[in-house]
Amino acid sequence: MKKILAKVSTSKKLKKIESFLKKNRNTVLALVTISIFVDIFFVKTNSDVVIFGILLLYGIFIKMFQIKSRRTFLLCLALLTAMFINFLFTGSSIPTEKAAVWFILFMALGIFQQWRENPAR
Amino acid sequence: MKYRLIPPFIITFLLFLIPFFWFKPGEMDLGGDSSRLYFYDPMRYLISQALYATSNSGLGGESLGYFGIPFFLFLAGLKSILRSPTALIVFVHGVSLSVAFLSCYLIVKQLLTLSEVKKTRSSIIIAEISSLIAGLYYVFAPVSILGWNHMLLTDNRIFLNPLIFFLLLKYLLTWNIRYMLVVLGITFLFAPNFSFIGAPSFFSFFPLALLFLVLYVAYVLRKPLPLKGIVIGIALFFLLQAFHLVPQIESLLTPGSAAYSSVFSKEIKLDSGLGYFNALASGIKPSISLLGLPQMTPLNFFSFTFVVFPAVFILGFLWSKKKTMLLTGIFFLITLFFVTANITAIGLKFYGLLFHIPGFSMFRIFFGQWEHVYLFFYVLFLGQALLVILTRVKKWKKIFLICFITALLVVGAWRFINGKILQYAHWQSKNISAIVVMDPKYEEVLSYLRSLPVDGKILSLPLSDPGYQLLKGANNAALESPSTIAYLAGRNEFIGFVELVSFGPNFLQAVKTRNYVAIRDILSILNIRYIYYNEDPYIYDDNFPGQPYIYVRKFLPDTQREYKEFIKNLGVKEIKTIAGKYHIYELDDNSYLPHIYAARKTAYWNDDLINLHIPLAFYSDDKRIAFYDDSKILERYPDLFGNSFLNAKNMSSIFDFFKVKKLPRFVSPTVSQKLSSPIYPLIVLREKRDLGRFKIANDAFIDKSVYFIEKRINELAKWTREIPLLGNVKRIADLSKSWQDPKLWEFNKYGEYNSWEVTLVRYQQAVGTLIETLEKTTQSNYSILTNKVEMKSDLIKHKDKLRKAIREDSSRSLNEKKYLLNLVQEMFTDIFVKLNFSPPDYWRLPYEIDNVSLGSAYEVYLNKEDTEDFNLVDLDLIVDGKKLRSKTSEGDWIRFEDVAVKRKASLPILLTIKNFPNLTGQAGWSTPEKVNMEVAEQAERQMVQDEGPEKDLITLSINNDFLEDTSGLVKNIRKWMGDSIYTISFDYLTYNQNFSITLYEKGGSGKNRYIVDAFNEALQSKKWKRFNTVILSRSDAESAFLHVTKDQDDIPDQNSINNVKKIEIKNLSVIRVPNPRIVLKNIDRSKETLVPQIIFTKINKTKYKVAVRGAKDPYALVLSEKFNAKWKIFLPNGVNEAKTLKGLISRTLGKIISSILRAKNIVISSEANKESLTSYFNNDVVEGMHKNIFLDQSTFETFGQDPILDKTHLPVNGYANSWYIKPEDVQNKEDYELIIEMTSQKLFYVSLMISVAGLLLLVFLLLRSFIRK
Repeated sequence: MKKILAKVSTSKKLKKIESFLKKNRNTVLALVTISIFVDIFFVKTNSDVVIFGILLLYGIFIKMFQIKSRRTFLLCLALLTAMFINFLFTGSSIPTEKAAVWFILFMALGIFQQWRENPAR
Repeated sequence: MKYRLIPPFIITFLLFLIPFFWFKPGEMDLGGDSSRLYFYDPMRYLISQALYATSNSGLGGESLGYFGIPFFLFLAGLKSILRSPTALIVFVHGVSLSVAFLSCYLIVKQLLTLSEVKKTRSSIIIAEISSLIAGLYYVFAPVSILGWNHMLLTDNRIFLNPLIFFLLLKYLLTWNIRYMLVVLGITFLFAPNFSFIGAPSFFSFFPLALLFLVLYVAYVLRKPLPLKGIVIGIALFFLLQAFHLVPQIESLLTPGSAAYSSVFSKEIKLDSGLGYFNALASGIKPSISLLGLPQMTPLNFFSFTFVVFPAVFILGFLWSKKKTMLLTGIFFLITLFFVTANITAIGLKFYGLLFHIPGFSMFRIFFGQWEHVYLFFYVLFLGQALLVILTRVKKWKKIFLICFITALLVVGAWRFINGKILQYAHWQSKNISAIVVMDPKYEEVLSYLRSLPVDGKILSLPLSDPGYQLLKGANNAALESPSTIAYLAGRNEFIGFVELVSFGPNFLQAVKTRNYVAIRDILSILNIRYIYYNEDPYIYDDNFPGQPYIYVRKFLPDTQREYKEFIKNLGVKEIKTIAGKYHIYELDDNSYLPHIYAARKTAYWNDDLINLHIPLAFYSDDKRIAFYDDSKILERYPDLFGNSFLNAKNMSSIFDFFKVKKLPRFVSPTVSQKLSSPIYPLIVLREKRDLGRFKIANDAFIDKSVYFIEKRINELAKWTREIPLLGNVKRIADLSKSWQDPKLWEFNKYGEYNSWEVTLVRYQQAVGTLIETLEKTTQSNYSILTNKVEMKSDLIKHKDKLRKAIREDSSRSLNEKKYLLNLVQEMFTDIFVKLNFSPPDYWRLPYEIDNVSLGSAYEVYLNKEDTEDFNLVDLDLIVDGKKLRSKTSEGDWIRFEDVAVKRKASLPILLTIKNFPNLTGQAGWSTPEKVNMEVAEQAERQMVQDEGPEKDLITLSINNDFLEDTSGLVKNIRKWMGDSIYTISFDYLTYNQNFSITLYEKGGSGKNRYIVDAFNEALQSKKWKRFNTVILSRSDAESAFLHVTKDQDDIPDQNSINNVKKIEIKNLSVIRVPNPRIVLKNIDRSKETLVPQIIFTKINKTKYKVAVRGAKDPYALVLSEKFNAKWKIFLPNGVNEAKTLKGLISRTLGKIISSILRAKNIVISSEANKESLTSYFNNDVVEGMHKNIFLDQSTFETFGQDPILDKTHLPVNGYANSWYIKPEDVQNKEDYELIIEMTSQKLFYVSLMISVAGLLLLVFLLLRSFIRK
């Protein structure tokens, strides 16, 4: 397993992809964010594949781009705003609940990140 | 510094005061289902509910309510100071509110103080404000206030959870053992929260709370844990809680007990647990939980403002990085998951898997059970996040945020603060308030019931559905609660239908038919001595049209006046009237069966004993009979039985008409490929392949076949216009002979599918094949008849659908429509002929008795009431091939010749009946309003009844433009009865016009009267046809009539004059199919045995002393309490000492305690009866001077003794306990004493001693901690 990981990490193709993503860091993160909001506002079905796929991608980007918990919590704030707007106009509708679930998952991710950032007591 | 204490003190004080403004003097809020009757009379409640191991409800049974002892004693102490239940309730409410606030405030303050490194003046003030807001949130949050109008015994968790958390936090921080000891003292006092009934609140909060505390101290503060203290604390906790935990755990681990089933049974885990969870989970919204709002409750218009709280959380994380807050955040998320469940499909699936853990089904209403835990961590999180924000923002923003949150909480909780939320009305009542002032006169009732001398049960009337009692208060409110008679007077009582368990349906039926003999028999066998009746119309007639009388009202008297009449006819003696409306009646000694008696006879009944009136009817002179219904008992102890009854089962296939298949039916198939589609043959192929996959013709195969059959109809209905006609077919059956499905390679024939006629051929062929399969197959779980009944119902629907499609097709000419309708009509005629669907021979009723294990000569009886419509000469009874003649009439039964029956697996019986009375009577047909059909419109109609050449021929001409129930002609049916089977048959000729026949049933009582159509079928014929159907009447139907109406024409008849239509009917017959009960009773050739005299004395609800005199022969001793293996019989005076170490220890312990009690003359008891002895059956049974001794020197007399007669301890009379006692079991004595005792109570005494020792140890440690200081 270690060998495979070592191979993967030294793979030239992967390095290329990584450097491409790093160069377009903001665009990539914006795309992730947009895809979440598209899922909330425009997709009417719930899919764990989409949710955990995006979450995994975001997790990889955290590692790749050294994203701080602060950014995750900012995204949480945006998700909370989306939930609030939906709640205001549609009550506890599907988009509201989707936004709530995204909010909860990113909050969990943010807490995990912040714990790793060695906070004070 | 001192001034900082003022705000929390003021808020605490105000919160304590708030409940004092909620109620007027005397008013009581008794919580959810008004079940907190302990506030009204804690001491009586303690005696009735908590001291003993048996229940006061209905039949009795094991009920472990010991956990309430310390709390009820505490309340009793408080009440002796406060005097009134109102004061007690508001005091407890006040303490709950103020302690909950204070504890949360202190916890948050403690967490904030420890996490702040720099302690400036402003940071201390902000921490103070944040803690106050957190505390306020805990008591004023929407989820918190909602629970206050249906509080339960375990809802002390509102303040217990934060209080214990705070004290444990202090203990872990300071290592001061006093905190721990105080916690233990609190857990003892509020033991219900740490008991079996408090399991959901305990297991949802404490594991997580303790884990949080440990992680907080060990990993956040990096302090050592006082492990020794924790171990001592846990040990002391179990010692203190032993008095209720030990009996409960023992019960939990006893297979078959209710507790065991509730935890380990698959049904509870999956059906009641997971099934319930799945039903609820989809309605739970994560957004609502995030906002801190209650689930499944209408939201306020300002609910959206609660978004401020999750916003505060996120801002807290954004502006600060503290481990304490992160730890709180993690626990917040964990509890959010448990309270919401609905977070991603994987999350939901995982939650569902947890229900496989034994006991997890207690969380099936998860959003309610995790609510307080979630609220608690929400509060901790809020306090910390608020501190971060208030520290960061400017002054005016700070003030605004504080004011906004405070105002939001106060405004949101305003209905709670002013007490409106607690002023609720009873569900389904006419706005009758639940906040009741107890009627002082009713206390006299309770007092009188307590003093009644006979140890018998009470039946309370009006009977309710769920076992709730209704009582008008001194104000215009009502108490709707669990029975005060059971809970406060300590008497075993039946107040609800559910408490009658398996006897309930027969009891209600007997009441409905006013069969007073049957009612008295049921009351006897249930050991009911008294009837309490509240004649107040306020609690029955109009104010409570629904709950709690929804079901029973169908059977019981509809008004209080009728109730009085009913009781009068019951033949009971009124012994007391209080306040003119509370009546107490007594059953006479001849009808009453005492709580304990020696059975005069023992009898085996081969069926479930749910209608005891039937076997009891054979013993009119003395009802002391012990009936056993378990065939294993008969096999094991054949000598035990004096009589053996064999109840014959009616095996007539007519019952198959009404069996409903339990398989979930398919949804009508959708069709997407047209018949002309080139891929349609592939669909045909797939259907064949799907059916071919079934290796056996089981129910799933039948269902699938009908599904594909219905597809043909749906195809024709969907593409009616587009499907062409061949136009040259006379009968579908003719075409069916020549047509075959094209083979897959016969592309040129694919187009053949696309025609009406071929589709009808395919339909008819498929139906024909299925009918043949049904007649051959035995793989279905249902009879052929049941399958055919269901199929006929489907076919009728198909026919109607096709007719409608053809009728509404505007593209076809009249001739084409006639052509199609004719084909359809003929096809269905052929199909119904093939279905061969005629009712079974109702005049020939086969019976069977399974497993005749006792070969003997039997007396044969036929129930008189069931055959009252027939002459005896018209009944032929054949038992085992031998035709029997009727001999005599004996009570309710007709006795036939005796018959000798050998042991055999099945005994066949046949009853044939001749000359059934036709219930249509001589009266003619009439117009609807004459039978009070309550029609809305009047139609012009003309009725002509012509006596035709044939007998009974009636020509009905119906002339009007209205359809269905506003027109037509009706005919009454005589003697229509509920829950009976009827056959309706006649010949008819409609001259190819459409008619409809409907059977209407009338029934119900009072405001629930109804007229419903029980059956409807279309009639159409060109020549005389026979109509046959079988109907099962509704259980509460009282009368019925037939209604013939004209039906919509498929093709309007242009030649019809004045729109008059004619139907001819002859040989109309409505017959009630009898279901007579046949019972075989063995001829008792055993010698008459002597029944010993029984003198029994109640020591308490769990212990009886029985003196037996003159027991020369074996006999069955009956205890009329719900059967439980823990009821044991002991011989007194240490005669049967246990020869084990456990026995030795128990004996020694018992002797030591007894000697202490004797030396100190300690007796704990409640009032005993002072009345004289009561005797029955010529002094055969005598009731002694009953006592209520909880503890005295005799309490431990059976400790270390082995019980006797365990092997012959058997269930009897469908519910009770019996012991079959032979002289050798009691050392061949004729006069002796027995002790009947419930062993759970013995275990309780032992565990109580452990808890008392634990309490003494706790006090000692507490005192020592003060002295050491």
